[in-house]
Amino acid sequence: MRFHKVSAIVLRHYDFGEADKVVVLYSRNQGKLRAVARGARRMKSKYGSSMEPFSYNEMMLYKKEGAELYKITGCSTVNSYSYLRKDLDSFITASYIVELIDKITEDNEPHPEMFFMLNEVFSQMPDCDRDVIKWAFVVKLLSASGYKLCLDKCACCGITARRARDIVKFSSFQGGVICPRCESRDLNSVSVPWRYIDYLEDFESKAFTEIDTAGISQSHRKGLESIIGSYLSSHLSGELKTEKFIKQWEVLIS
Amino acid sequence: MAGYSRALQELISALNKLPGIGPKTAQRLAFYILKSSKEDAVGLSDSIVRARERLKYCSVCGSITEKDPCDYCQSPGRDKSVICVVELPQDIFVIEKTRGFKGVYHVLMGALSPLDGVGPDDLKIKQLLERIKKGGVKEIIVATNPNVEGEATAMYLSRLIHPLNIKVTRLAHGIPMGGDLEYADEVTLAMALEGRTEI
Ligand SMILES: [Zn+2]
Ligand SMILES: [Zn+2]
Repeated sequence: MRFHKVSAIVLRHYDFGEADKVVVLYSRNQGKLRAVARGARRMKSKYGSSMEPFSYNEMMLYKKEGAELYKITGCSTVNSYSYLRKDLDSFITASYIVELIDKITEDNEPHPEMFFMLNEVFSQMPDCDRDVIKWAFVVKLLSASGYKLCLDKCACCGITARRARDIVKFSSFQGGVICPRCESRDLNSVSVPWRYIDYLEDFESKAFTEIDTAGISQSHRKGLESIIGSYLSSHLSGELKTEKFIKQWEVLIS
Repeated sequence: MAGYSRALQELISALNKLPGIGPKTAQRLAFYILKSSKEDAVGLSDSIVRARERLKYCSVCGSITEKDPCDYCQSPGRDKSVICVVELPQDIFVIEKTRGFKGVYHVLMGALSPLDGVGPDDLKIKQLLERIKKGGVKEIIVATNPNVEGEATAMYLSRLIHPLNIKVTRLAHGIPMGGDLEYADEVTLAMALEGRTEI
């Protein structure tokens, strides 16, 4: 039997047995883990709300030799991020973020940077534009996973991108801007204003609260949503469940 | 399950399909059923068939009932202007046990859960709105579970129903009775403080 002390954020949980939950965690030093929280579904559970999604806890886990799941033996909450569960828009955005992390990472692959990004996005969410949070998180996450966008030079031939014209070709398949000579290498590339590329650079390099969102017009929003969406889906199989939810949600509030 | 006769294998795998029953428990239950008297075994199977045949969901509120509309919806003694919204039919029995509620119910058949892809269209929310639009409703009590999904559902319903000028209330959150303050987690405690009442 081996004991582990981990700092981890709860991504989601699912029911297990009569009264237990399996909690999917994203830990600082061990990456994504699955652990059983005994009795967590009972009203009087000692875990209270600490096993709810987005909670940041210090936990004691142990695992028997050869077992698939960890067991939680102790837990204290560092930050419950309870405001993310008290406002519907924050809740939906945070759900989108944890689903992304869950889909893009494998179990037991450490990636401390992603853990810090989760804490950063959760703490800064109340002060930020929800669309921008989503886009910036996607760009940062893909960059951290090895799919960094190529924005200062052509993603195919590497020639320095020149801002001679107002618009530029963006290819989600090639992962960035492409020069006129390479256009034929992705027939699905789209023409976008250079302004979008500046936004993408900001999304990748700036803290969520530092991104200047004032100038993002409604039509820019549509354009950014579309290119970031196709960039994401080129690295992700299948639709996100939260996307389906967001679509139903938007119909109802409009 | 090699070596088991076909009938036994079928029984075990049928029990295994029940929620919370793993293969080991399914085996134990199967052997228990075989050991019990024939009347008991037949009684069990009959009651499953009977329940399945006679019971249905009430077309108004979604509770489990033998007649449609159900007793809650038909009884003149119940106040139709107060609707208590619950996640599942079994939640009605829990609230009924308190004997403190004399209104009617509405079963959503789940809770909103973006992470599981359960959106507004997957729940009986439209049906609730239709009931409200028929008139006579003064208050909606949201009695969804005190967890993320239940809270999100409550917030969503309140956003949807408020503009219709109907009071939307939520079950109070707090420390469980018989519990110790020192064991309450901070979120529960913060909610209990917010929802404190004058005595
Ligand atoms: Zn090129
Ligand atoms: Zn009914």
